[in-house]
Amino acid sequence: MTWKGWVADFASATVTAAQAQMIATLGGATASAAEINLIDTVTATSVEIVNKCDGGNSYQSTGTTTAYAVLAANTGKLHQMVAIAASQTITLPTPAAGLNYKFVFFSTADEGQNFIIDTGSDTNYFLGGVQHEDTSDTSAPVYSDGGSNSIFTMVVPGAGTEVNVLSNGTIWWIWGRVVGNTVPTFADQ
Amino acid sequence: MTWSKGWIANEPSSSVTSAQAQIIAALGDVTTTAAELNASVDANTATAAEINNICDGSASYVKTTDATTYAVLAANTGKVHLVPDLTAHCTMSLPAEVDGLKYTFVYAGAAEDAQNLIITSGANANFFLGGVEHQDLDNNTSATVYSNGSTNAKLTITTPGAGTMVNFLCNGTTWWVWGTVCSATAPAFAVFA
Repeated sequence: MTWKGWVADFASATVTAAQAQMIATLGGATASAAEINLIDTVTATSVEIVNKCDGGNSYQSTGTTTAYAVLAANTGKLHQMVAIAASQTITLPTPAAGLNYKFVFFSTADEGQNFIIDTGSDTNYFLGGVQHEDTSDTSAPVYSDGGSNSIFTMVVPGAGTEVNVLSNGTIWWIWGRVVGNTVPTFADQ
Repeated sequence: MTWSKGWIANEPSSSVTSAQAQIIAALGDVTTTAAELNASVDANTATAAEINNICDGSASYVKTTDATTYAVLAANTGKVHLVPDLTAHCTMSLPAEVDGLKYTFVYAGAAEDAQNLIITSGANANFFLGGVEHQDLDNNTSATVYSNGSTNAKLTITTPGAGTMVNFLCNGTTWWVWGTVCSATAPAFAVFA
């Protein structure tokens, strides 16, 4: 049922019974109008806020299959790379400004397989690079060519591996560290 | 215009304007409960800018310019600052100290930089506290480099390479610093002037 005019006798301010009940429940709010109005200028979406701030929703495993599609809806989340039986290709979503992910290797030993992060197109190349921390005692930076390299391979990584990617809508910035005996590589499709 | 009093729960002092009445009516479409509002908004101390700079992906980073100076903005607190391959040494000035300001500087060039990145608070009273790990790309060694924790207000990151990521967090007076510098040359802390 819809009543008309009940809100301050304002003719256009009609509400349904359900809406009236909702308004009544809001009477229990202790948040001030100023506090609630803060939301007016928040441009982060609920998904973005939840993915960054809600601990229980702030991480995502890439699983143990040979292919994993990263979801745009999981932007901002820490992605756990776990022990795998065969190399895994992690495909990034269609680039959109602000999409960002952190990939961290978690296991009980150095991985015997590779993790490959693939943008899907050389047009959507990586820009930047990572530090390779060689567990055999060397350290060296490894860079994308910044023009077409769109496949990044972490070869048998170990603990301490953490790689970040961030899109501007076309390309993906990349930075972080890969720990392992073998140098990571950048390549074209 | 203010409508007659007493319409809200027969409360004589609760008069509303027609504009407010429209907003109240619109609140009928809100699905957030009072409990949810109280949990997420009432106790929230973060500003909208702080939330946006960390959570809004497209607002969560800054590409610093390839210039000899760069002023870090208080308004960009919480953002990742992506530093390009520089054509000349760049001095980045941190903003006036405010409790909670924080920044992450990431070297995002496509090759090791031949130039230096200098980050300074601009005053020795606003010194750095902490230090960074230096990953030496020439000697394949790792070492720690510390501020003196009393006057060092300038950090020089000499010819950084990939993997360089340095964080700053302000307590209102001083700046905590931590992170990793990957370079053939050790970073150095010093007084501002």
